[in-house]
Amino acid sequence: MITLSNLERFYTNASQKTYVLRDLSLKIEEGEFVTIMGPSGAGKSTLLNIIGMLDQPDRGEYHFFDEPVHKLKEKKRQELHKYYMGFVFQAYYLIDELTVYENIETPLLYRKVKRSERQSRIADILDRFQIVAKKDLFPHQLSGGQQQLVGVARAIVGNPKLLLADEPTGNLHSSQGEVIMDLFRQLHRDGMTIVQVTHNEKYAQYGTRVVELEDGFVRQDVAL
Amino acid sequence: MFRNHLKIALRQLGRNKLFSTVNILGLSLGMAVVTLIALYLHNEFNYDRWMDQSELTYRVYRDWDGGGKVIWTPSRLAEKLMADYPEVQVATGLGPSGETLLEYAGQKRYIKETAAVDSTFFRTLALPFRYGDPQTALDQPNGMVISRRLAETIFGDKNPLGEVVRFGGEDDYAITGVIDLGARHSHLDYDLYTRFQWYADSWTGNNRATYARLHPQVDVAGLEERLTAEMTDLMRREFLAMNYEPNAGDFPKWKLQPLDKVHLHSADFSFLAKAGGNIRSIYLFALIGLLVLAVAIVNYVNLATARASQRAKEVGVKKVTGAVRWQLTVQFIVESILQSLFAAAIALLLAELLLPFFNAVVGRDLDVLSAQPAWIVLGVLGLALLTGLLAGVYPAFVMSSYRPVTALRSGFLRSGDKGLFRKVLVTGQFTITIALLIVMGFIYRQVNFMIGHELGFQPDQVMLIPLNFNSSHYRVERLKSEFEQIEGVQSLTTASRFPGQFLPDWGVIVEGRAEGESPYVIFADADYARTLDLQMAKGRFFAPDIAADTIDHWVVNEAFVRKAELEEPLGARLKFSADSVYGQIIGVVKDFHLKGLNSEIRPLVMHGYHQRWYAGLKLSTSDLSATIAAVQQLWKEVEPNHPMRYSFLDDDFAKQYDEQQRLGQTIFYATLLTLFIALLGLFGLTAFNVERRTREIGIRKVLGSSVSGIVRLLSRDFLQLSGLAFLVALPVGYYFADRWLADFAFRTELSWWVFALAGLATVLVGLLTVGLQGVKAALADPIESLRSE
Ligand SMILES: Nc1ncnc2c1ncn2[C@@H]1O[C@H](COP(=O)(O)OP(=O)(O)O)[C@@H](O)[C@H]1O
Ligand SMILES: [Mg+2]
Repeated sequence: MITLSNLERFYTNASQKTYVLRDLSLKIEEGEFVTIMGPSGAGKSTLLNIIGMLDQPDRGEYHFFDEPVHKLKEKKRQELHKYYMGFVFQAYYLIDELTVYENIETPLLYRKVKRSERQSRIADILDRFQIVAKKDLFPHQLSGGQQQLVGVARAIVGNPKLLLADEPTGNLHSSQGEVIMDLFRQLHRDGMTIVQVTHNEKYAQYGTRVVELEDGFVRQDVAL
Repeated sequence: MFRNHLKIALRQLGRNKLFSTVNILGLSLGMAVVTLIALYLHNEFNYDRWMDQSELTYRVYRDWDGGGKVIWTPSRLAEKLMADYPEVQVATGLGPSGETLLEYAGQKRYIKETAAVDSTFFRTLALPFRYGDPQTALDQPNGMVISRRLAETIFGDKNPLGEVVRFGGEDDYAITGVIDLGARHSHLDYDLYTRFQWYADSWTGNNRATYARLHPQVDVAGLEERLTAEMTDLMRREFLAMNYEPNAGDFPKWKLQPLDKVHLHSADFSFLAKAGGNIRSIYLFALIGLLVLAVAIVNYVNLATARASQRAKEVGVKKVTGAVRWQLTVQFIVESILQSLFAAAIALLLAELLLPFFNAVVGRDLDVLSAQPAWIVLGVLGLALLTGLLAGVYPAFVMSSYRPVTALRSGFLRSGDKGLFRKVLVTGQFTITIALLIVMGFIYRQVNFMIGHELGFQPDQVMLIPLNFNSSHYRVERLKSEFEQIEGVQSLTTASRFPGQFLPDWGVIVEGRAEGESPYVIFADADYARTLDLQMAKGRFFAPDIAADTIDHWVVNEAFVRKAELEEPLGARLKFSADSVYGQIIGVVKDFHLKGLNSEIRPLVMHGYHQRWYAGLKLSTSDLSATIAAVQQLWKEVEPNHPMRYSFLDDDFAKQYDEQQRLGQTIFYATLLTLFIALLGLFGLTAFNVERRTREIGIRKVLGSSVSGIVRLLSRDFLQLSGLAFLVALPVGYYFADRWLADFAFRTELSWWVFALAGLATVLVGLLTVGLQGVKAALADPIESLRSE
C-alpha cells in the first residue's frame, strides 16, 4: 500500500541544513497496524505527515498503491489525501464553534456526501462510539477522552483506507487511553490500516509491527 | 456546506462580542453614510431629467468667452425663437419676481419664490399638474399657477381652481393650475407663476431666462451659431442707434444649456434663478462617502488579519479533513458578508435616524425608506455584498493560505504575523483623519476671518426694509424726519441695493473713451453714506440740498477709478450707455466690500436716480423691539396694504458665507465619523493586543514593571504610526487647504498651529483609546493572568 524509498526531509535554518529524515525507506501493506516509536524530535510526526500527504519529502520516492505521490500535482495529492486518509491528533483539534455532530460531519461535507447518507453514517458512528447523548455538545463541554473519541469518529467517518494517529493518547489518562486503543484494535480487525505514533510500550502492543525511529533513520523494525 | 459556514460565522460572532461590535458598528456607520450620500447623489443627478422631453429642452445663456456666463436674455427672445427658428418647437421666458404679497380671504402672506413667465411656459417645461391644464393654464393674463405646497397652506385639501386671490396688493388673479412635483426635483421650484406684465423692447437689455424645446435631431451647435450671428447684428444696430460704437467685447456668444445640466453645472453662471446644486459638492460628497466606508473596511481587514492566527487551527483541521483552499476562502468571505449584512440592517436604521441631520447639512429634503423602499433596500443589500467582499477578500486570502502542518504546529498561534500591512492601513486611516481635520480647521478659520473682517462699512444695527413698490420711497422720504425722530433711529436712507445683495452691472461710458465699463450700480439718496458709515477718499457724497446730485452726479469707488484709469476722477464725466447726457463725478468713496470676502472689490458707481427697492435704518438702541415696533407703526403710512418685512444687514451679509459654513459643517461631521471609526478600529486592535499579551504583561508585572511602563509598552506602536500619519497628512492637508483657500480673494494665512493642533488632537484621543486599555491590563492581577494560561 505504502512504499517509501530513500526519503529525505530537512529544514534550512540560517543557511544550515538540519535533517529530520535521512534516507528513510519503509513498506506498509494493507491491513497492517504499525506503531512508530522513537525519542522526541526523531521525525515521527514528519514521517506521518508525509505519509498523510500533508507534507512533501525533499528527496526520495513515495508510492501510494500505484500512484507516485512525489510526482503528483498538489491538487491530485489533496484528492488522495481527502479520500484515503483519516487523521487523529494528540490535541484532538476539534473545531470549537461546531457541535460534536457537526465536527464529525465536516469531512463528509468536503466529500460532497448527500444529506441523508451523512445522517445515517454519523448516527451509526455515534452509536458505535457510544456518544449519541453528546452529539449536541460543544468540544469544551467534553472531557479529553470524549473529545478524542470524537476526533477518531471524525477521522473514520469518511471511510478512509488509512488511519494516521499522532500520539492520540498523549493527552489522556490511562483509562481513557485504553478506550481509544480498544477502538483502534476493533477498527483494525474490521480491516482498517493504521499507522500510529506513541511513546507508550503497552499501546504499541495493540499493533502488528513496531518501527523505531532515531535521528531520521529506521533503527529497528519488528513484527509482533 | 453553506449552512456549516453560516453556523461557524454566527458562532464566531457570538463568541467574540467585542470584535464583532467593533466591526459591525464601524461598517454600519460607513454604510449609513454611503446610503445617505448615494440618495443625495441620486437626487442631484435626477433634477429635471424626469421631465417629459427634457432631452430636447434647453436654457439659453450668454457666454462672454472667459468673462463669465449669464442666463439673462432679452424679453423678446422666446418670441423670436418661435417665429424665426423652425428647429424650435416652443420657447418661453421666465423671470423671478421676488417676494410678493398674496391676499386671500383677508389673510396676507408674502410669497418668497414667485416667477413671471410667458403663456407658453407650461407647454415648454412639462411640470406635472395636479389640477388644471398646463396647455391652457396661462392663456388668460390673470391666470395664476401655484405649487401644491402653497395651495395646501392657503386652501387646504380642496381643489382651488377658480379661486380668486389678490397679488402684489393690487391685481386679482384666478387660480388656473396647481403643480405637484411629488418626490421629484426641479430647479424650477417656484411657489407661484403669473404672466409677465411687461417687456422691454430691446436686444441689449437682458431681464429674463429663456427656455426652448427643440425638435428631435436638431444641430444644436449650428443653431447656436446662427443665433449668435443674428443677435450680434440686432445688438449692433441698437448700440449704433444709441450713438455708441460697440467693439468685439460687447458681443457674447449665445448658447444652449441642456435642461438636465442646469442644476449641477451652473455654478459658474453669474446669477442663478435658485440656489442650485454644484458638481463640485457632488464630488466632495462622493469622496467623503468613500473615505468613511474605506476607513470602516480597513477596520475589518485589520482585526480579521490580526486575529487570523486564532483561526489557524480551524484552517489546519479543515484542510486535514479534506477542505481545499477556495472552500475556505469562500467560508471567510461568507463570514465577512454576514457581518456586513448585519451592519446593513443597522445602517438602514441609522440612515433613517440621521436623515434630518443630513438634510440640514445638504439643504435638501430627502427620504430614505418612504420614497422608494424596494430600490433602497436592494441598493443597501448590494452595498452590503460589495462591502463584505471588499472587507473579506484579503483576510480570506491570507487565512485560507495556511498550510495545515504549519498551522497546527504549536507556537504558530502565538506568533501571528509581523503586521506590517496592518500598520500601513492604520497609518492610512489616521492620515485621512488628520488631513480632514487640517482642512476643516482652515475652513472654520476662513469663515471666522470673513465674518470678523473689516468691511469698509458698518453693517451692525442696520435694519433693511424691502419696498413693495419703487414709488413707495417717495412716501418714505416725506416721512423721513418722523422716522428719524423715533427713539433709537439714527438715520434713514433709501437705495436700490445694499452690500451683499444681488448687484446689477450696467454699461457705463466715460466721456471721451471708446471702451465702455460695466461696474456695479447702486442708486441711493444722500444718507446712504451716513447710514452705512462709508468713508470718502476724495470729494463729497450726495448732499440732500443739491438738486443736481439726484439728477446727473456720480459717486464712484476707488476700484472704479483704478479700472477706468482716471487720473483726476473728480470732474470726470460719465453716462449709462443707453443715456445721452453725461454727468460729473463729485466724490470717490473708499473701497468697501460689496460682496463676501471670496470676491475682489469690483468697480462701483452710485447715482441718485429714483430707483429704490429698500429702506435702510441705522439704529442705535438698547430696546430693539420697541424701536422696531415704532418703525412698524409708522410704516403703515408708507405701504398701508403691505405688512412690513425687515432684516438686518449684518445677518444678510453673513448669509453669503452659508455655503462655506455648510461645507465646514459637512467636513466637520465627516471628520468626526472618520475619527470615530478609526478610533473604534484602534480600540479593537488594542483589545486584541492586550489579550494576546496578557501573559507577557503578567510576567513583566511580576518582574516589577510599573503601570506606566506597561501603558508605554502598549502605546509605543500607535505613537510611531500616528507620528508617521501626521507627517504624511501635513502635505496632503496643506495641498487641499491651500487649493480651497485659493478661491477667496481675501483669505486667512496657513498658520502652522492649525496643522499642529490637528495632529496633536488626533494623537491624543488615539493615545487615550490605547492608554485606557493599557491601564486596565496593567492593573489586572498578574497571578490571575498567568494562571489562566
Ligand atoms: N517547520 C519546521 N521548521 C523547522 N524545524 C522543524 C519544522 N517542523 C519540524 N521541525 C523539526 O524537525 C524535527 C522533527 O520533528 P517531528 O517530526 O515533529 O519530531 P517528533 O514528532 O518525532 O517529535 C524537530 O527537531 C523539529 O524541531
Ligand atoms: Mg511529534
